[in-house]
Amino acid sequence: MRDKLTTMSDAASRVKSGSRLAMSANLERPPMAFLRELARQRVRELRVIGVVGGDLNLDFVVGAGVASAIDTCSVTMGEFARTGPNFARYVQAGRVRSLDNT
Amino acid sequence: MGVPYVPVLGLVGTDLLARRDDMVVAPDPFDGKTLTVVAKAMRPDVAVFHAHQADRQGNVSFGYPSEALILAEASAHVIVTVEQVVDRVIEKEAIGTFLPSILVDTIVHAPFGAHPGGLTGRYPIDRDAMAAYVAAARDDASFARYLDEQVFGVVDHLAYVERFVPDAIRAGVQRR
Repeated sequence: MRDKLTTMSDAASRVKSGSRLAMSANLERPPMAFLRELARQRVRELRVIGVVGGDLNLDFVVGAGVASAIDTCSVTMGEFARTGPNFARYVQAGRVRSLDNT
Repeated sequence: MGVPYVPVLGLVGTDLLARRDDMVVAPDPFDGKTLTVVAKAMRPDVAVFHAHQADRQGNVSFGYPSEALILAEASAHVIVTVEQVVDRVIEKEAIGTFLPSILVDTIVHAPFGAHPGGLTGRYPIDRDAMAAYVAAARDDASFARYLDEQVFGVVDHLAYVERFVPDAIRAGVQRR
């Protein structure tokens, strides 16, 4: 069997700018360490798909400049905010494309 | 699932389609007249998840129920970051969702990898860190400072954990 264990840096390098990235997370289990590494590597223009919806994970990729489009049914932030503050600001200003899809 | 598209009955007649390039109205191929919306299948290039345990071959015990299986099947490349890398994960001992190695391409060891979010069964949401995130996200300038400190200001995830994951969250780890 192939050894699939690698470093965070190497794993993040598999995500190319302009590609489509899917997640299934909310305030529990968001892959934040991975998303921070995407930001460090300056990955850009991702279309990010939240199944079903998302929270912190989707708001972060918008605020960090990693995503240019989000497919989701919602961006909630639990009790901490009414929605993702970065997400709301970017959508209202037309800086990210939001598609009601999932 | 591998299907190229999915018919959707409910959207026919709405003006939503004027803004969509991934949905079209098409006639039923059998009766030639009933109109349905046909939505193009999404094919993610990469799916990424954070889970409890994996082995080096790529078998994953998520530790919670999730939609990961269907997303993993749909995606070209599957990355799972985990709290623990163990010798062997087998399906009948997995907790919650189990992903077999055939669906997984890449495993990364990332303890506290969901922080400042929580991980069901392991550690709670870091409420103070979430409040700080929401406050920082109020405008571009303050979020840029947040990124400078918490993302660009640390060399990697281990350095992040050392600096930003408080003892109270670390103590929330439930040993098995």
